[in-house]
Amino acid sequence: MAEYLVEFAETCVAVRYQPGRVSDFLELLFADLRARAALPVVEVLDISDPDPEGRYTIANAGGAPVFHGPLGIECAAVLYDQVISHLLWEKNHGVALHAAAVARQGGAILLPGKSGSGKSSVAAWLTAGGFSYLTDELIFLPDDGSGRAIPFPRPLCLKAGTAELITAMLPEPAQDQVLRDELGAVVPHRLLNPAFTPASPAPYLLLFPTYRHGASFHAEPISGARAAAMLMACDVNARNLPDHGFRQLTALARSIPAWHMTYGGFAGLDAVLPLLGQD
Amino acid sequence: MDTTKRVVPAPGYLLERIDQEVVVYHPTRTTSLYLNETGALIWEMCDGARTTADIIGILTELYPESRQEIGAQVEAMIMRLEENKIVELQA
Repeated sequence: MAEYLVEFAETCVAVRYQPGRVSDFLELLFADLRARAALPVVEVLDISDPDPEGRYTIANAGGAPVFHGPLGIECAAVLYDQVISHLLWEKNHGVALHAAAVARQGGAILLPGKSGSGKSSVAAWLTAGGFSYLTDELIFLPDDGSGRAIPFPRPLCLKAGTAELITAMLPEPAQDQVLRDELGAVVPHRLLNPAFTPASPAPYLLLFPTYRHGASFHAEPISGARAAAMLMACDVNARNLPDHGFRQLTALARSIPAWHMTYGGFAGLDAVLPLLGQD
Repeated sequence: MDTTKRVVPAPGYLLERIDQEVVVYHPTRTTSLYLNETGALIWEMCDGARTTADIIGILTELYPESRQEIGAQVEAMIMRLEENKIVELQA
């Protein structure tokens, strides 16, 4: 068995597998998170050989299966859920936030939101527009006073409707590098913006997206108290922290401006750029 | 709503003021609550001694031009605080 080590914020999960198709699959999902140094492993996941129908089984360290099926979008989603859950299981030196993020001129724009809020789509659109990609899913804010936002730089994971819009932006040769099926697509972020340097910049703006089908673009500033309440709803590792991360997140909301935007598609989204400091 | 009951702060929640507003988090319920300036003002008056009627009276004196709306606003806010376990109503 080979072992693929996934690292995030100094914590590591191992995925064991038989080299072959799974190697490419793991490299697509975790290339920017692959551990480069030895770190303590908090969990081991096993991916089986395929059965005659080409279905793989993912099992946790106890041997319990958590997925059985082909190497498609559902498999990717389960693997991300498992890996992230174990990476954060005991993380208690900062707040993990359900947020996408992009960077501009050395500062991070955080896009906090629950699943379905449209944060991945906005992150994809901004990345294609020249912003530096950080993540579409998860940010860790260590409580070390550094102010850094450590991203989980996975590829963009897009649901079916958005996936079509985003992949339509890609040149034909790049289409082969996208994993897609009827559920959506996993799009390597370098296809949207090849300039990528791993970074953990300090946030300078909070932008809470809400996707609503057919809605026109609208954005409004929101107060620090409202932003803090909204951030608490995106706190992933609250149970590990004595105050559930409340003081840290209210301090963040107090320190940088926050906006809420509603959008119904990419048309008109240009209007968000001045808020981000870009004309 | 019985406006003669005292509005008593409940234990166990975390609170931060940001500018003139308030954000409250209840770790047991894992819910957060945002109070705008008006909500924060009403919350500040929930000191355990005042009743809902007292709070309505004070605010009506302060803002006589809003006399019509104040009663309903205060009752709605205190019910919201009670639902979120930020205050308790006691006889």
